[in-house]
Amino acid sequence: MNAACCLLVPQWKLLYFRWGDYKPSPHEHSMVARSLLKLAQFKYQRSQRVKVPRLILRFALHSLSLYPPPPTSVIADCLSIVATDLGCDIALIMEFGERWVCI
Amino acid sequence: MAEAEDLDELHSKRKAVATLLPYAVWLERAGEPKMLDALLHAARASRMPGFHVVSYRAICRYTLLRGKPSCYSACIAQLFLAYLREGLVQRWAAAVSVAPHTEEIAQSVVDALLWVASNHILLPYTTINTWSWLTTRPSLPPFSMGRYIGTHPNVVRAVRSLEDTKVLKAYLLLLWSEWIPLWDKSSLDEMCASMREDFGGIGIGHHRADLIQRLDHSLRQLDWGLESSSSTIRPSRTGIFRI
Repeated sequence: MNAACCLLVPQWKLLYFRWGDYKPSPHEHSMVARSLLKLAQFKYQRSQRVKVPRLILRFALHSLSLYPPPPTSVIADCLSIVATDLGCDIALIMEFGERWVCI
Repeated sequence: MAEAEDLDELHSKRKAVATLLPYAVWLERAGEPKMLDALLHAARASRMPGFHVVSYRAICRYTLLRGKPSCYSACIAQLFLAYLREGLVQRWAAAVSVAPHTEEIAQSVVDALLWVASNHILLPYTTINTWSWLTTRPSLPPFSMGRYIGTHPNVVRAVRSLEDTKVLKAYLLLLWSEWIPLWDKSSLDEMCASMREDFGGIGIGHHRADLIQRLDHSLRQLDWGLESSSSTIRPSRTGIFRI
């Protein structure tokens, strides 16, 4: 949870934060990805739909670059983070466990 | 798909688009190339300066070093020119050797090749097979990086050293244009020497004729440009012409 804790540190320190050494367990990775997705959507709304915080976008980049790939739920959350930054509306259809992106 | 009118928006969202690249490459390796196709199309349309952000060096390594070389690896190198190093160029050259000859891939390969050739450290890693892509003579955009840096005297010398008339001719035909000036006078001197020494023999008159035709065409275009701009020249009160 070190990565989640870093969200509490001052903004200027986040500029130098790198995800390169962050190698969580699949369970922790899923939790962090879900939390960061919610945070990204909140921050995006607060910034008047302009940008998702760079730190969160870099998390998505780090996670999507991992080999072997992270769990499917992490990939879905990372893609949702990118979709949020691109201004897409994400509809979650709970019944089928699928997410649809409206462009 | 990215079109000209989307360029500002694409530029503002370049980091988000770049974030998708590793996943798109992973999908392509799994046999689903649609996302990578769309991203490369967007990157080409916007010229993606965002790829030159330090944190995206990892994407370059990821996309070129992982998995089997494919035609996509051949195209991706064009997006990360600033990060190409010896190992990546070797990998890129391997990808180019298996890529099919299409106009779009040829544009990417030639653009990256001319950049690589201008760097004396990377130049030894190019192969004759890579250079042969010049003979496909893709239509580079008027202000492409490759077309500009390709006139560097090092590149002219490198192409001459191949001693392959067809490649040399294709290179000169590609570089001589009304769009981009030559790098400097030493480039011009090298090209003049090439015309004298490499195209002065017997049996290559048709190559010479093609080169002269291309030069005539470029000069006509330049003349036409000068005439158009001279119509906007107005005499000032002091009698000195001001554009």
